[in-house]
Amino acid sequence: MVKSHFLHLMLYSTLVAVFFAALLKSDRKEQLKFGGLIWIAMVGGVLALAWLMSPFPR
Amino acid sequence: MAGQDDNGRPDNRKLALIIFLAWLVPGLGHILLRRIGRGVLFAGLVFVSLGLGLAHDGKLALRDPAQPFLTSLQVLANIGAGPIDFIARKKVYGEVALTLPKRGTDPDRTRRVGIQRARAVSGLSIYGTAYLWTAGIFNLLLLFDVWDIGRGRKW
Repeated sequence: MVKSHFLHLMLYSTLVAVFFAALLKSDRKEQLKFGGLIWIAMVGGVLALAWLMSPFPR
Repeated sequence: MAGQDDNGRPDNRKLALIIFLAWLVPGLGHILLRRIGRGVLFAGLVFVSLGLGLAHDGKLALRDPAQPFLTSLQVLANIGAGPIDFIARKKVYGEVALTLPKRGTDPDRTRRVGIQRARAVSGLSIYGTAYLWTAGIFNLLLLFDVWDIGRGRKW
C-alpha cells in the first residue's frame, strides 16, 4: 500500500492524464502535450492550493 | 459481411454486443474494433486503478435508502468497472451486496455498515474509494468511446 499522500497525488494524476490523453487525442505528440497539461494542472493545482492554505493549518 | 454495414462498421446488434463485452472486460471493446494498442492501454489503466482501490480498502458503495440519489451514483461508478466489482463485493461482504437495508435493526445493515467502517479505519480508504470510482468511470467512458468508434464518429 502507498502511504504517501504526495505519491497518491502523482499516481492518480498520471492515471487520469494518460487515460484522457489516449482517449481524446490520436497523434502521439498531441497526446504527450495534452497529457502533460492535465498532469501539470492536477499536481500544480493541488500544490498551489496547499500553499495558499499553508497559513491556516487548522 | 454479416454483422457489418456497407462501410464495414458493425451493425447495431453487433455493436451492442461489443459494448456489453467491453463492460465485461475493460479494453476489450477497443480490441474488438481493432484498436489493439489503445485497448490494452485502457485495460491496464482500469485494472491498475481497480487494483489500487482494492489494495487501499476502497469503499464498495451500497445504495442507502436514506440517501438514494448519491449512493446510487456511487454504486453505478463502482459497477462501471464490470463484473470484477461483483467479485470484489463477494469477497468483501461475503455476498454480492448492492444495497443497505433500511435503518433499523436489520442484521444485514449492521453487518455491512460494520464492514465498511472497518475498511475505512486505515485512513487510506478514501484514496482507495477514489481509485475504485475512477476505474468504473474510466470504463463507462470507454463504452461511449466504443460506441463512437463503432458508429464511425471517431478514428
